[in-house]
Amino acid sequence: MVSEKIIVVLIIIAILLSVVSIVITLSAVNTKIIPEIQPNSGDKTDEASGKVSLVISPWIPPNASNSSGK
Amino acid sequence: MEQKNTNNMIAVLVVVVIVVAVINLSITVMKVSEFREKITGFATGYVNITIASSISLNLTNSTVEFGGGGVNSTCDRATLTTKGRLLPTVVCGNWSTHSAAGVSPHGIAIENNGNTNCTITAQADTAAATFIGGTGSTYQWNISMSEDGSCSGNATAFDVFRTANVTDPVTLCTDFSSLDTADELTIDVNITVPTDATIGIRTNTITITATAQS
Repeated sequence: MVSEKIIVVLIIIAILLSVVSIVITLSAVNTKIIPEIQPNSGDKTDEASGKVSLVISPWIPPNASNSSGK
Repeated sequence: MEQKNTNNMIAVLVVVVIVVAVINLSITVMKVSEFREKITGFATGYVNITIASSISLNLTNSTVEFGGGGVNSTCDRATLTTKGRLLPTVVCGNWSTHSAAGVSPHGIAIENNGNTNCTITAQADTAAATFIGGTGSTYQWNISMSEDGSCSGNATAFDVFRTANVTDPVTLCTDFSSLDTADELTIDVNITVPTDATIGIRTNTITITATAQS
């Protein structure tokens, strides 16, 4: 024979277990978890290079260009 | 008697409910453990992160190429000068101010693509005597702001040609801005080619280094 008191206690236990389950679920949903961020110290220096170029042709003196026509 | 049977039935049902609740709780705990590893969450809160300073130089124009030409026969030297994004000037020489593709030689444009201000230095690999050769050749550069406000604390005067540094890097700007609207400097070059300059292809490399401000 099961007394009414035992039934009440069992019901209370069932309710508490359900409440605990709900609390755990809600706390998990409302928890903000940030993925671990890998620290990056960043680059402290950088280097680049530019280029200057030209092609130099031979210089022809004025008298040379005159004499070349003779 | 009927009351006792009812109580027994209720008791059985309650036990079943408890067992179901325990199973439910166990499953919840296990699933929540897995869930925590994947979610980013919905609740408001504070996240403190530190963004590290990063230096990144970008040469939007890295080549000054005058092409072929020579000193005019009536002159004893020619002068070639870049003027930022404008057409260069060639005095007493027949170098074209436009390349074959129709692009004129522009100054070297340096952009600070990092997220912090920096100090930049420049160094040429050879001096005028080696680069151009001959008697009285010169190789100069100057620095200017192609975007206003790009440099504060300039170490050298802007828009003034001076001999290109070869032995040691020269500091061009001690506070090169990283703001998108003010982060570009230009190095223009001024080359004097005498009549007895070294004939052929002449090339000079300018190394530009940026260092984060401490």
